[in-house]
Amino acid sequence: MSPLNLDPKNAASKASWKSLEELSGSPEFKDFAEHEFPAGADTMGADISRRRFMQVMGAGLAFAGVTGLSGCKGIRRPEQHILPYNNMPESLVPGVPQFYATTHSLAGEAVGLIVESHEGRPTKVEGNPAHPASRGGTSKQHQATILDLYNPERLKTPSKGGSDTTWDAFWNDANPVFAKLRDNGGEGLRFLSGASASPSFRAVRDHAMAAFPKARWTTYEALPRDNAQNGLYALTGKAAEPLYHFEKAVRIAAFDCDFLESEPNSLAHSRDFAAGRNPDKGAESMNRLYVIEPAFSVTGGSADHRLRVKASAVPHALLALARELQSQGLSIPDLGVSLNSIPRNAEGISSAWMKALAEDLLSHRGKSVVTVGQYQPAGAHAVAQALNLALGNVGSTVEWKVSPVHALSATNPAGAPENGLAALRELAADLDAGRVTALVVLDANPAYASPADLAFGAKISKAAFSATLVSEANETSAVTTWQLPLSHFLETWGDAVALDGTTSLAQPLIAPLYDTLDASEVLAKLTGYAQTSAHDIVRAHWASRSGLGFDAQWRKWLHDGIVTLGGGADAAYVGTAPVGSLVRALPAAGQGLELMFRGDARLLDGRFANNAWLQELPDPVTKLTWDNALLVGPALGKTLGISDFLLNEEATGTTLADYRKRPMVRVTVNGASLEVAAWILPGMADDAALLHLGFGRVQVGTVGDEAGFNAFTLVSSKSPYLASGVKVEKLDRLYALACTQDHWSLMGRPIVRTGDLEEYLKDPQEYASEDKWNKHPPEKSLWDEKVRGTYDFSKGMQWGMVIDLNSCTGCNACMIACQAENNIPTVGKEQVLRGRDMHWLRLDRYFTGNVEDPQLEFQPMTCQQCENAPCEEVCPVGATVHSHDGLNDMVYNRCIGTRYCSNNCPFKVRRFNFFNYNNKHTETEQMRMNPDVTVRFRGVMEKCTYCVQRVQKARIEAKNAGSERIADGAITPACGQSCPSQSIVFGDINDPESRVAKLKAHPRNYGLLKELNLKPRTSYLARVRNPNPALALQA
Amino acid sequence: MSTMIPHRDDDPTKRPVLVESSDFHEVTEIIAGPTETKLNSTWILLLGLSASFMALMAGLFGYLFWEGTGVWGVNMPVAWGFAIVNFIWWIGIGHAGTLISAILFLFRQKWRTGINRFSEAMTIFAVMCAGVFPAFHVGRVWIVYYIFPLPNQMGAWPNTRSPLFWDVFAISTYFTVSLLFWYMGLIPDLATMRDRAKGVRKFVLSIFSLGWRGAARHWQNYERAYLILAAISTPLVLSVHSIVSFDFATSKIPGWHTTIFPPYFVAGAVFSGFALVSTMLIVAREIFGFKKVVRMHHIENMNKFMLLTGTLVGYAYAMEIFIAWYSGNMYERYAFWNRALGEFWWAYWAMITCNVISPQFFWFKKIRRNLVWTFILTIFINIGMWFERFVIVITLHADFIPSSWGYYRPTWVDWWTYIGTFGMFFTFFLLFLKFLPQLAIAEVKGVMPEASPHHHHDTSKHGGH
Amino acid sequence: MSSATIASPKPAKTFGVLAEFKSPADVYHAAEKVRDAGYTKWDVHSPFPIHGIERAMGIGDSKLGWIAFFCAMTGAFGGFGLQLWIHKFAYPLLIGGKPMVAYPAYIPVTFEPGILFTAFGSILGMLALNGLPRFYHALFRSENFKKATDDGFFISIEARDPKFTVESARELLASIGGTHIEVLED
Repeated sequence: MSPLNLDPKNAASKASWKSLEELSGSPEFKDFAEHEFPAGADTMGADISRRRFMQVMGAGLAFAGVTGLSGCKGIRRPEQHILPYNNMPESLVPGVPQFYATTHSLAGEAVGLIVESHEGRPTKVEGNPAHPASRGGTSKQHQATILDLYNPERLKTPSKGGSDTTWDAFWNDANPVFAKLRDNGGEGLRFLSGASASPSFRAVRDHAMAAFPKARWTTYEALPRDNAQNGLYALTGKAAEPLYHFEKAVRIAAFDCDFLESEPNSLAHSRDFAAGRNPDKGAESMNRLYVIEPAFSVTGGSADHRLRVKASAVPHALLALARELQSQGLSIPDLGVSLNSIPRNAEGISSAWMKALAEDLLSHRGKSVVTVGQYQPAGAHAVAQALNLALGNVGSTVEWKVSPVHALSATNPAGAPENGLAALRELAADLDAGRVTALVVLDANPAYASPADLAFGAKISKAAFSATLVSEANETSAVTTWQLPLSHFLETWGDAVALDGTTSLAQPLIAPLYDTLDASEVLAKLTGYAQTSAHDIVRAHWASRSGLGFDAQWRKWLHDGIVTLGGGADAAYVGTAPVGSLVRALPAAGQGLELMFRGDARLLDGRFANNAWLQELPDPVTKLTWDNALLVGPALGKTLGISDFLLNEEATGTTLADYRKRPMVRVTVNGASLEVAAWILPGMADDAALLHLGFGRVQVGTVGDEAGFNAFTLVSSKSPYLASGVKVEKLDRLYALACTQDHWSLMGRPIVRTGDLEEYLKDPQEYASEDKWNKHPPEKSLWDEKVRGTYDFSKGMQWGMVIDLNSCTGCNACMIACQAENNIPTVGKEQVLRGRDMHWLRLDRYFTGNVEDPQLEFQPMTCQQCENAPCEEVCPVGATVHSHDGLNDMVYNRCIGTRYCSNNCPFKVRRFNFFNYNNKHTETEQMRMNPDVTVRFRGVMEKCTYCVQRVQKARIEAKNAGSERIADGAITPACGQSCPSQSIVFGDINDPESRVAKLKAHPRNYGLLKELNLKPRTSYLARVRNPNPALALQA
Repeated sequence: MSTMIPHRDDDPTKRPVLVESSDFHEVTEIIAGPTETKLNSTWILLLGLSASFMALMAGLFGYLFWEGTGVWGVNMPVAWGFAIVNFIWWIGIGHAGTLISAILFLFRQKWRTGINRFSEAMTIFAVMCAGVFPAFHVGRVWIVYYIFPLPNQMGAWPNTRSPLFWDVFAISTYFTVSLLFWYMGLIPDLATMRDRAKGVRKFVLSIFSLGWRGAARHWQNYERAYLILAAISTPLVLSVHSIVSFDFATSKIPGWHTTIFPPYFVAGAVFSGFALVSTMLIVAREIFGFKKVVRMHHIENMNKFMLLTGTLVGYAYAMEIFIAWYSGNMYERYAFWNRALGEFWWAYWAMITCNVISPQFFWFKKIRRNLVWTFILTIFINIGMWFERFVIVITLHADFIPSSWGYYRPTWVDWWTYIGTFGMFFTFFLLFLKFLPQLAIAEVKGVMPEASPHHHHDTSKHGGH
Repeated sequence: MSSATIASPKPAKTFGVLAEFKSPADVYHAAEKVRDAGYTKWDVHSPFPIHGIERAMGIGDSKLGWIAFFCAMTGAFGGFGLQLWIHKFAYPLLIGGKPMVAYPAYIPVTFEPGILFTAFGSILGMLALNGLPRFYHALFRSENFKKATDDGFFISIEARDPKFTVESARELLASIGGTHIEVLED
């Protein structure tokens, strides 16, 4: 390799190239360099942007016009060197990905993961089937964490007041402070962190609190986590949480409880719920879901019966149920109120409905569940769990588990639940009073994600010394003196306990990309813990709990991701005395318009606001991207004068020419006011409005900037999630909302097929049949498909997919999984507004029935891999053709981008690169890309490939193993792998034993648009609802 | 190849062109004369104007090439937008020329001689304007040649079963044949001009007139060739827009997948073609004073054609809707319901008003023979035909799966590119008007009564028929 | 190019005799006479085709039709063959579940090349039969002949004709009403 081929700049910077430095002065070298590296060519290194390349090329060509060949030299790419491993990492074969088990903790909720790594770059997150909280499934957030790891906007070094410096500088600054604090016992020292379920971290924390007895630790989560604990605390005297087993429950009553998505442990719930959702088990064994909620959640979408009730009335609905149960002879633990005084139908609660529900629950004692959501007060949780107890569900469908977050505490095992908000209020007061000398914020963002009336951000500066450990600069780090870079969970060690007590380990897949530390490391260093590296902290913690042969055990734990030391304590019913106070403390059902504040389904409390994948992921129900909006029902919309967009079965959201614009409204509540776009959402409770938290962040990266409206400015610490006395006035301004699905209705088309269990059991064969849904003449081909040269798809392995609409909850995790696996770019709000979102897999959402009180239908929609693919016929260059195993392939290199294929696709699942969406990736971001999947250039059509790279991988492995056949289940597309409810099944349809073949033979199986004779390889299992006949009669 | 002169030529109103003049030389003067005069300032001004619009178009295509297709308003599901609308619109306009040349020639419609050169030129320029769109609307313009069946190192070949591949052949064939047809008609006239010219001009004209010397033995082959071209151009004209319509007709999309498209497209093409020809003719007639040559009955005949084709188009619209209803196919029904009453209702009704209603005025002779009326109505027709293509393409926005439905909004680039193509059209057209004989000199002479060897009353028995 | 600009290297050799007539009718009748006089290497020149002149001159039908027909067949079979070859042999791909040989889909690209080849065939054929382009011709030596593309009608008898003598040709042309009779050098 000639030194001359090196970029002179780099070379000059390397002492080793002394000779070159001398040479670089000489005229020969100058002459050489200007041919080899014309202006701009040095920017054509690894981070070359395609546009830059075009510019340089253009320049080169222009140059060529003048001075002939020298110009052509201008367009030559500089040499890049591929270096072999100096010492080969263990068991690494270049090109073959490796998989490691680790654990992700989110607000104290632990989920075990398996992470795919290519040559040391983690590229994809999957669920760990061995972990009870994952069972192989993942949430959209888990999938999106990969993007955060490579986010170029992460803090790279510690910085003080915004100017970058080093950790040494920080220690030099912090150590004296902590030395002083150690002397005064930690007077004025405050720690603030999010909830954590990490035993080792808790050990460090306990040590810190022991070392600084007067210090205080505030655990604050903006989204409620402690209502359930307080509720059960009243019943059990322990800070416990319910652990549900929905697979055992045949009757489920969810009171404002989105247990399929936003509640803790939702992945396991989805899996279990799906398991109990099988209509072939018959009316008694298929579960029936009653949902009482103020606004549509995906759980509400899966409901068999859904009752729209204002949030403030939900506890009273629960009490009404209790009364109904009691009057039907169930003995209910003393709730401290006389149930007979409870009104049977207050606030839109239908007594008949409650009666039917009560009967259903009673007739399924021990096989039913009553759940309440985190946004409901502790009293409601107490009542619900009391009912579970009375119904004999505790022990079968519900377990009361001591909350891991508390079980960990050495100081008070199962002590009283922490009240995060109260603690934060106290901290704010202390700051105000100047009682805080040092504040350390560990991976939390109270300055943004806290009630406005605390004005927490403004108070932080009153602490003499303050530091925030965070991965990206946020509102809190902006006001603390120190900003410390936090390691990503894929860069560090850790552990966490799941609700059922299972402990799992987190191990790094990559060395920290930047000069970052983990929370436990910073805390350990500050407070003088025995170990100071995350690895040592975790390992030492478990070594002390394990016995002999720890090394072997440790290796096994790391391999499986699961710690086999048991754990998890049950909490038992001890008496009801405290329940009464909680129940009596339940606020009366509010009058007039009430406004709910809830975490966004994607950004949660805003911690993911700078994650482009999640920002562009449509909300499961509203299908809005890049924004939140004030959600109101059609009726309320009308009274507010924003009903121009009122939808109905025919005319729909798209009635205006500029239909993506929505009116702005001013919301005034708690003395604050916010101007926000309004959006009509069917199925809202009357007089209820919903505003999602997590948007409108002010101190955030380029992605989250100007995305949505900051609802926290309206939140009051007195009643953070529900506000009454709301004033909404329409402004004469419009605001563009990027919605990925403009059309709300099925238009009576047989696309989503759904019905009642009764119907299904009466005649399963007819239930989803073409004759019933879609009468059309027999599919006749113009030619004899067998004889006339077309390929015979009855031979060999033929791939197919079945999607079960009955268990799909519409959670959208599959969309992000697909995005991560297939290097799908995000395009930004402006492009989504133009209708150019790139998701290969979209989750269609339809409303059916009454506009005010509709039902939700979800349908994952992606390339159907038609055997008679309309897209292929029309491509003039043969860029989309059929493979012999039945895949509809895209040949990117051949595609010239006529877009005719998309026009002729009846499902409109093809996506086009209108611009070069991939030319802005920094070197770091490029590391994220899945090397098995081409990154598409502009002007090229793309679409779902059934994850052909995974198919090929399995094929190669099978070949190497000397067999032609690939075992069923060896291939799972990214969507199917992430699906928490396992609704997406993939396999060889020619193998009668494969799961997919069996499902295709199932009576509920149907293909879309059969009359077009497309022969789609993807088919759907019709949805079956299991309504209560008693209620069906009244309807 | 003797073409008989029908007796009706003696009826003064129906006499062929140039009845005022009985002198071949005068004809030469009238037609060849303007090409030899100095450039006048109005012409230069107009040329400058259109050339700058053409430059704008070129610039915008450059921008598109640099940035990507996204600078246009196209999206998913409406992946085709203005580009294809304009393409079909221009191609449609390009149909009158060859039709007038070929079909009217075959039917011995002598009045064609007044307008055929003119309209052939328009055909060629219109097809050029059309051609740029398919070339530039693809995502990767720099490899658009993949669509041609060229041997290549990848051993890859196009999919000849795709309507777009048919398009390529139809359009390029149509353009080439029209150009040849046009040039061939020009050869004798170029010779005429050659023999009037001096110096460089003479040199250039000599080259392009190929040394034509009006020999009878040449005329014989020449007329035979002309006849053959006319004979093949007729099916060609009909095939081109049929094949363009296949882009839609062979697809699966409701509102596109219909068998009526080929005849309906051809009728529409002729309709719009005639409309633009007479628009231009009326202007040229005023500016260049062809009142002697382009007679009122030319205009009237064209208007009759428009009445016929316009009514055919109207029939097609009605039939589409009827079939959609009669088929009982819910997707078809919705597609047409949506066209008339959906988000793009305005486009649909603009189309109906301009294409179906406005030509009906041509039932009245007064209006048929009134230049102002004709001018206004033809403008309406051209607008209407643009909307027809818009309505068809935009049907994409709502097909089978409601969740995928979208909307289409053109960008400023869409608009100005479209406007720019007018610049291109008029640039070439002005050049043609100035530097080439706007009428077929030889043909005009050929149909003069004086041109007949039996013109003056001689009693010779020779050469009798 | 005008003959004036070209000086022919060979010693001057007679091309033939050229005479002008005043109207299509005159030249028509004159042509009949020349035909009857038995000349074969002669021609009539006019600014536009004179109807029936070929009969008056007694020359046969044009052969162009055959050329065009041949080209049409080449184009059509070529187009069809290309598609057949691509899908059956060169590049057989599974596309939309369609047969490799889908005759109906081949029709457009069979028809269009047929047309295209015919067009080229008939125009190039026409030029070939007429021996064009030919930028030098003895006739261009005559100033008067310029009218042949404007309003003049001429008959030229060439020296190549076996019966040709300058005198006889000149007399004949004069006798049938020819004016401006010129003898042209080749």
